[in-house]
Amino acid sequence: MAEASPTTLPENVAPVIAVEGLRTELALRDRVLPAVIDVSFALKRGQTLGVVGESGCGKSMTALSIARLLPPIARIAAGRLLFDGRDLVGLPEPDMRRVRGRDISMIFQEPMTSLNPVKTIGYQIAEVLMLHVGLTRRQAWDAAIEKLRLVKIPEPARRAGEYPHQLSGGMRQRVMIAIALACNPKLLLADEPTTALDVTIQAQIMELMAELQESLGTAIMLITHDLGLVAENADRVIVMYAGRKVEEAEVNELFAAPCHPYTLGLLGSIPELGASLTRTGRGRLSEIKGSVPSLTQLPPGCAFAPRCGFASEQCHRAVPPLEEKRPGHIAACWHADRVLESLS
Amino acid sequence: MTLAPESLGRSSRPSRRQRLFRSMLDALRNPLLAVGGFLVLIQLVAVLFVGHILPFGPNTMDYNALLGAPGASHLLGTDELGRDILSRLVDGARLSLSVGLGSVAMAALIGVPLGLVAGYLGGAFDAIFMRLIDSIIALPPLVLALTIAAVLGTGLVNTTIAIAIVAIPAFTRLVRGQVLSLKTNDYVLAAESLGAPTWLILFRHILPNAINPVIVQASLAIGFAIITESSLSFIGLGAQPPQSTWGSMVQVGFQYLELQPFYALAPATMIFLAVLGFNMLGEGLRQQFDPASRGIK
Repeated sequence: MAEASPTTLPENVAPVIAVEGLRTELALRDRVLPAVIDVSFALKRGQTLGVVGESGCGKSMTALSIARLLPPIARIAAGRLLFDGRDLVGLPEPDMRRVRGRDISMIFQEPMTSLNPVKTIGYQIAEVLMLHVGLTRRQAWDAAIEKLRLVKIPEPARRAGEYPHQLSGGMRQRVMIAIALACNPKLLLADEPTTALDVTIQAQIMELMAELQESLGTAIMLITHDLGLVAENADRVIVMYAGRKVEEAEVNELFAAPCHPYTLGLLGSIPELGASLTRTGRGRLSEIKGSVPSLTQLPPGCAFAPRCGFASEQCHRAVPPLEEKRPGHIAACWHADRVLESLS
Repeated sequence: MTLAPESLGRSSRPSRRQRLFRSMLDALRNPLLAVGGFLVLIQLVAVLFVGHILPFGPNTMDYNALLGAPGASHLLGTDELGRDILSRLVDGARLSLSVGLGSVAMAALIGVPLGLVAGYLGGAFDAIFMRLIDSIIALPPLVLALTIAAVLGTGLVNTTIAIAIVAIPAFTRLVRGQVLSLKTNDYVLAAESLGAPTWLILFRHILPNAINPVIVQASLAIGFAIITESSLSFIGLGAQPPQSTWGSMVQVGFQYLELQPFYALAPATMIFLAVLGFNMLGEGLRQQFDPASRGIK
């Protein structure tokens, strides 16, 4: 499996998490649908991996698979999740619980609903410390105030006694970050952490996460559909489409030389200030025609072929393998060379 | 990084004590809550304090005044054994409320966790268990309580257990329904992602969000429990002589209705007021907890 889907990671550092050939399936009443297909990647300490793609491409499913928090209808069908050299797949639930919150944490999209409305924020931070660090109630409360200070919430001692509804969206996401990073986890799964926030608050939150990452050395998996966020905050990027990883590269490399038509399309749909609006020069923002194919009717060949301007007969017949198209840059496309040519 | 916009608007925030005081004032403006609360309160006062200042014990017999009319020494008269009806009424309040509160507490302590677990786990356990609960609901509550009490035997403890068993399904169904909707909340997933064990999620994260309807249900159930206890005592299954619960007083007093009308009417009125009080309290609490029925403030 691992050989089939290569990943480009410098050899010298052991990764915090190595996902190998992950396949996650949804079991419906009458059939089984793949939500994540043969996805592999690795993430080192202190590194940020951006995972981009449209809604339903398997980004969140990948993160939930790593945390083993899949909904009841979903299950990991194949692959390995090597975390600190230990395979999380098949780890008994009680052991997995010790990993969650202490070694692997998550931040969710909606800070409005991710906090319990009837518990003080101080309690909600203290709880994870009592669970994993074994602090007493009083120690945990004091530590919680310290964590609030860490995420730059003013007057943390007073704020700790407040309830989520008394806080703004940005403040709540800071609290979520404080909770997620309370035990200094090795891996943070941030699922659209700023999507629900104002743009100015977004920048503050990302800055805060970067600062804390630097001081704690946390590896971050940043799931988003916002390429701008990825460009500024990620070291490496994975592009996912219809459950598969279709491209992976260093962030600058990916933006400079996208090898997959889907990535090219995503980049083409970002408005650029001061630049000519499109690469095709049509004077309007380009879009990717059509929508992500339903998991129930994935085409036999490349899933992107029906929407792809480069598609040939071969694309409709066979799934392209992930290959190194440029140094340290892998993509799954039969026509990567033509895509690259189209850039110049 | 500037934090100014986020820290605005905090100066006018009232303290926790002020907010509690304000919400209590607010609650008193609700007539159901005020009247229901008052009725329940006077019963509690009667049970806790009045019994001690009455001149006669509930079982003190005065052979000079059998079925005596109300008067200066016996405010509500005496029964066929010369016992002071007011004293027995107050003592009956103690027993009736004990059975009411006891059985509902028992039902909630069993029914709520069952509902939490059934709703959270779902699947086969939920399906099978809830059908079992449904089958209890299918039986008329009084008939079921009567059957259980008859099997367990007479006495107030057994009556309490019988009423509790009948009251369990309402709590279980109520809480299960709450859990079904609450468990899809992000904060439950967030708690799971922090490695919180199931019991912690159930009791610390889900239950506090589901507790309001449970309190309402408990208040309504106490009314039901009091009336059921009275019914069971009335047909002779509950309290045994010389215990005086309201139901048993009505049963005996019924025979002397023409000679001493207060004997049966006074406890009957107490049953009425107690059930009314708890039902109004429950309904008032429901309104208070549900912003939609109070109008937008």
